[in-house]
Amino acid sequence: MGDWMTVTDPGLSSESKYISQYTSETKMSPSSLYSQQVLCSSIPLSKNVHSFFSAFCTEENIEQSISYLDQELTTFGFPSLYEESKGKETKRELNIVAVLNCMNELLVLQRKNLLAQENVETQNLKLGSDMDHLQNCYAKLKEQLETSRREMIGLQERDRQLQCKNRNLHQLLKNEKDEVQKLQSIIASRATQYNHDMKRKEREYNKLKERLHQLVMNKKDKKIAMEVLNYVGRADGKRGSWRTGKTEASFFLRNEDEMYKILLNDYEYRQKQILMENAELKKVLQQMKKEMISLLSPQKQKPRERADDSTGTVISDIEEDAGELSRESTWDLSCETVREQLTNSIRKQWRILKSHVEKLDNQVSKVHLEGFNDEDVISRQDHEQETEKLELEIQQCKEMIKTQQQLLQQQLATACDDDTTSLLRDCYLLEEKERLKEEWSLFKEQKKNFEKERRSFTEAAIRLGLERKAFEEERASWLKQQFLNMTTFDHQNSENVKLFSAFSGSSDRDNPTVHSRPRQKKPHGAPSGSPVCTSKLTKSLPASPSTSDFCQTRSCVSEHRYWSIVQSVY
Amino acid sequence: MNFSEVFKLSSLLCKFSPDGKYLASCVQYRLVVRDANTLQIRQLYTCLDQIQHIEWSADSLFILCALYKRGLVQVWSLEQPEWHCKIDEGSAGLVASCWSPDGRHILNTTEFHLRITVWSLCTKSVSYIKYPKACQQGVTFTRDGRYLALAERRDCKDYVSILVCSDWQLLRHFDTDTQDLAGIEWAPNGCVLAAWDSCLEYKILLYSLDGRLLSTFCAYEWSLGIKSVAWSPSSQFLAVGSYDGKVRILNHVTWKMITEFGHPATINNPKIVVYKEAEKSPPLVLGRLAFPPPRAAAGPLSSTESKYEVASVPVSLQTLKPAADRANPRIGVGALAFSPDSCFLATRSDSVPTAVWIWDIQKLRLLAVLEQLSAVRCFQWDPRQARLAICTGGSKVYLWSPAGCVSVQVPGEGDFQVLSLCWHLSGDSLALLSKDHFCLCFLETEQGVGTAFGQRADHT
Repeated sequence: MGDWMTVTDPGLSSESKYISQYTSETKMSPSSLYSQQVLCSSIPLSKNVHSFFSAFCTEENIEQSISYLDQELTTFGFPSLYEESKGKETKRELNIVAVLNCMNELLVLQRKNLLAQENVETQNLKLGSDMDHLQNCYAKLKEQLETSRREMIGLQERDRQLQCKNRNLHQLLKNEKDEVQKLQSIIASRATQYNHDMKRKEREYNKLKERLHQLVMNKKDKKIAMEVLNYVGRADGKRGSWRTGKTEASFFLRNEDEMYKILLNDYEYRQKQILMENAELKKVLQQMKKEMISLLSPQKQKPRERADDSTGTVISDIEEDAGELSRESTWDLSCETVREQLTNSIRKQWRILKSHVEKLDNQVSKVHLEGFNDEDVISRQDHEQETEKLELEIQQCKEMIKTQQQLLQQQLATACDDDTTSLLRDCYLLEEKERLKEEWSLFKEQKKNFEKERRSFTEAAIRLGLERKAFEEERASWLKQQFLNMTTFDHQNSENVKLFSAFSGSSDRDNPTVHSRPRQKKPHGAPSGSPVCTSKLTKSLPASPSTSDFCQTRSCVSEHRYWSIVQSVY
Repeated sequence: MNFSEVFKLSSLLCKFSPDGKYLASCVQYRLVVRDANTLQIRQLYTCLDQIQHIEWSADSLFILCALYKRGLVQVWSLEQPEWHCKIDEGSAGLVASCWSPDGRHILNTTEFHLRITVWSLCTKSVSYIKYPKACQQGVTFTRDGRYLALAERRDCKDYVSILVCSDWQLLRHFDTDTQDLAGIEWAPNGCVLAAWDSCLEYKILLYSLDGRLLSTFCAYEWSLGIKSVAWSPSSQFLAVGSYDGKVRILNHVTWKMITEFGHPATINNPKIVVYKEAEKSPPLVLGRLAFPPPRAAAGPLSSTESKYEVASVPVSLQTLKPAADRANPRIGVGALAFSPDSCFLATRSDSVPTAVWIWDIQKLRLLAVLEQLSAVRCFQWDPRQARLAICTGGSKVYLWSPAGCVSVQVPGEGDFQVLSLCWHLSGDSLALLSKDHFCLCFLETEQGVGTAFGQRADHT
């Protein structure tokens, strides 16, 4: 503060000085001071504050300065710088306190003034800029005004032109209309003229024709004639009747009669047709009515509940009509009597039907709408739940798949061989089984064949056995004879015995079986499944029966026995 | 399909007798009557001059030959070749001649429509009908031959006289509310007479046999009106073709319009079958060319075959731009024909001359459109079934039936340009007429129809 004070102090004082300078200029000042003041005012204030100060108060003029200041201050309403004088003569004393107070006040004033000045300056600036802005605006607006004024003038001009044109066109239209009217009138007059002329011409023409007619026809033109070899009979075989005055009238009447007859016939025909059409339409109407009634009657309860009285009465009318319907005779009445009733009832029914259909339509549309809404709501509500559920399921399924995959991988890794082989084997076995089954059936068939052949073979064998037996007996008798004849030779004898035994031994039951068995076993022992062998066997057996077989059969092996063998082989 | 050999003809005069037994044709001044089946000449008559018109009497016993230039009518009898009759209209001149339905009277219209002379072949009596109107169709007989309706013009007003044909007595005479009556036509049941105004005004009036006005129909005003009128064989419908390119169908109960058939130049409805005739030149196979070229291939134009193709919608038809500054502009429905069972209606719009439109009357909608390569000259329904024969002035004849359509080349030396055609009563044969020749086309009988349709399927 002190600092500021020091800085501003000279300015302040100078200011105050300045003020005083202006204010007290005229009043009084020492002449020297006056000259200095003039000098001071001419030069910038800030520059020579000190010089001014020094100029204002010097050692010599302190008293004067003080008095001057006092004078000045008192004029401004400050208390006097001098102490209150007790006497006139005594010299007034300078009151320091008052001086200081005055200075302080002056400083405060100075500060206030400075602030005010600043405010005023800023306001001035603001106002200046505002002024500028407004001036700009004003200029712009002026321009706009100018342009719009110009435009207006242009538009006015155009309007004027258009109006002019319009007026011209109106005039033209009017002219055209006039022209049209004129032309129409001309046409009309021409037409009348033409018609008139035509009529005149036609009259003339008629006159000429008449004249010509007279000239041509009344000349007894020899040329106008008909040459006929002989007159032919009438097509209807009648003779031409001569017209006389008497008959003419009757002819005329007859013709009239005929004409009316023809017309009558035509009308009758048409009436018949119309009747038929009517009948058909009536039928259709009746049917329609019936159907309507049948259609509407089951629903009459419902509408009665809801609908107002009018429909109710109508429905009761329908019931009445239904009653009427049973009286078919009404339909055969002429239309006039029934028509009103009929049309009314039909109309009513139709109205009911219409309203019913409309109701149904409304219902349907409502239901449709509701359905839509419901669906929407449901879908929205359930949607999330559903999706949640589904997501859960998906999660579960995924997990399951994962575990399954894991398991599968594990299995593949660890027990891959065992499982697969077993699986494969299983597959193999299944296939095999199928094949075996097929083979089995084939084999069974072959077996059947084989049995058949076997049977025939056994029969043949039996026959052979019998033959053999006979042969053996013969041989035995022959040997006996030989034996009896040649008992002398031992060796021969022994041999014979051997032979005999060999043959006779076959009579023994056990022996041949022992012999035959390995032989029999041979074919049967061969892989039983192979059909080739069996077929060979069956073929070969009857063709070349082995001796052992013969023996066997000869030894009266029963079929049962044989069977047992075969079966055992199997 | 078989074709007879080609016979000479002049002025497109070739007509089957009403009983279907004979075929009369003219060559200059000669009248040749042939058997319709064998085509052997039965009679040959020689007239005094070039024949301009022939007509069979209803009982097929007589033929009249009109020689308009000479004002002469010569009548020939088929039963008695030596019988002859010559009617001379003298200085009055002759512009039209026709049989009355009994086949014993001839109605001759003199020049300037001064009068109609009714000559009788039975008696010497001659009747005159004065003031006949010179118009499109001024004389019409009922189907049963009892009545004749005649358009008249007296004191600048139109009248219709109804006469009894048996004795030419006037039955009814009434004026019609028309500016300029253009035509009259009996309904097939003979009870209703349709009378229509000239093209300057759309107006059709329906009169009962006893002269009462039943109804009047006017579709629009201030424009060209009716161009063609046709009754359905059942008398149930009246089709009216007009210059606005529309056909309006009136019913016989209320005489109000049932429907309106427009003839647009573009067809968008996929339900409508559009048969488009397409020309195709046969592939030239050198090895196959027989040395004396077969007769069918000898003609200059016959080398190009044509067939029908089913065009896919939308189809735009070729339209003519009418010359607005000329009289009788080529617009509007110029030809109308109901099929004998009244189920179909064939029409031709003159602004689309190459197309024939076939309408289904039961469903009241367009059924098929046949677009030909050249303008349709003439079409006629088979009198027995729904089969339409069309000719376009080329060497082909076209047949349409609900099963499909087929184009048939007419064989013959040179070009046989079919300008007109007429069906035999039985529907088994068809006479094709060119400028100076005619030939008969024999169609398959019933058992052959299946194969014909099979063929048709190939073509379509």
